Amino acid sequence: MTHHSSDEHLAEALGKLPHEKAPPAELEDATVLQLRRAGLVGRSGTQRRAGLNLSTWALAASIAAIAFVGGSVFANRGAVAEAQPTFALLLYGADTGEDSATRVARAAEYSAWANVERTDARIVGGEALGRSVAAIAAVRNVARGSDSVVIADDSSGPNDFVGYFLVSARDREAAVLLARDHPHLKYGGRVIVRRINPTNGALATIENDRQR
Amino acid sequence: MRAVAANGDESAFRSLYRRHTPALYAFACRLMGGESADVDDVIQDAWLRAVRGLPEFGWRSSLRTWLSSIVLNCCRERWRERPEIQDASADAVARAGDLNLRMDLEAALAALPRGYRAVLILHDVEGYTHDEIAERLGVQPGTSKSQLFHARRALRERLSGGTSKDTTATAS
Repeated sequence: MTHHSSDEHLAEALGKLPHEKAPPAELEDATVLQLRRAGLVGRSGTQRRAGLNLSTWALAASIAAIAFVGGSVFANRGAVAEAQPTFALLLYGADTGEDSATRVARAAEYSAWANVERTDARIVGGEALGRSVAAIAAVRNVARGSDSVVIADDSSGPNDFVGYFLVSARDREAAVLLARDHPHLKYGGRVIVRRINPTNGALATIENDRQR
Repeated sequence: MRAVAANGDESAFRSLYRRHTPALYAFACRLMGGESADVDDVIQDAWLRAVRGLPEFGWRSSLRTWLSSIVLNCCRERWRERPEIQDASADAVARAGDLNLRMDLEAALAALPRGYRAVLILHDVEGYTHDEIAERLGVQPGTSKSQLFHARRALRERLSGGTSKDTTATAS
């Protein structure tokens, strides 16, 4: 078989590949959430009416969460409390056991980074994490066919996850840009950017679907 | 579509999403070498950009073509940002190694270098011309033809059980 004819066969086979694939069911709601946060779509018709209470609850929960995690680093940032976090910046590593003066200086550096005014992204919360105090897991007892919860002392476990920031960002690029500028990197740490898929919007959608 | 662009109508967006996402998702999966969280991110970002850009969409192409271009750009940005997903994953290569038995075209595609994969998918699966591919990838039409030649050869090798890794793919 010549290359030319085999190319034709190959192209024909490729052309017959399915042109559609069902996306994960949750992707639609996650996409709509992103659009809502960006102010690109609103709710309409019955959804607007049914979703009102849940939206109000979500806003209150968001404010409470921000007040909880904000701590002293964000004491002067009440004005951004209405923003819902869209990304989490997870800080790993760079826990070098430095002295208290250095730790304070480093915290001030992180705080300064968090308080920079930005147009495409805002820090809405964050904290440092201490050592882990317990590891909790559900364990299945095969013989009895039941689950039990095990709580183990985990004070000597891995403590690589040292802190986090909650970010309200215009889009993924803005969140990544923010993370690239984080002083944690300077200390040899890693910053993982994770999209937040809160359940409040998804639950509202499910509830609305039931009411239709 | 006008309802989404003008009023931000969520119901209208959901209709638009349901009509076009299965095709965009298949396209993104192939470009990214298989289903993954990155593909989900690509789809979300593509829709964000699309809805932002809807007011300027001028019907110079079909909506599907325009959306596909946005997905392609999102994939290419991830290739640039994430070197570990630029080329075929070890897993994809391992799956492609079983091709003598399964003739798995999808697995063979996923095992190709990213540049080859893009040109092959755009030309042979999606039916783009070399001029259209060149415009979307920012290369010359001749480069697209050359890449397609190499891509088909690499795919044939994978399909016949070969594992040689041609790394001359450049379109990203």
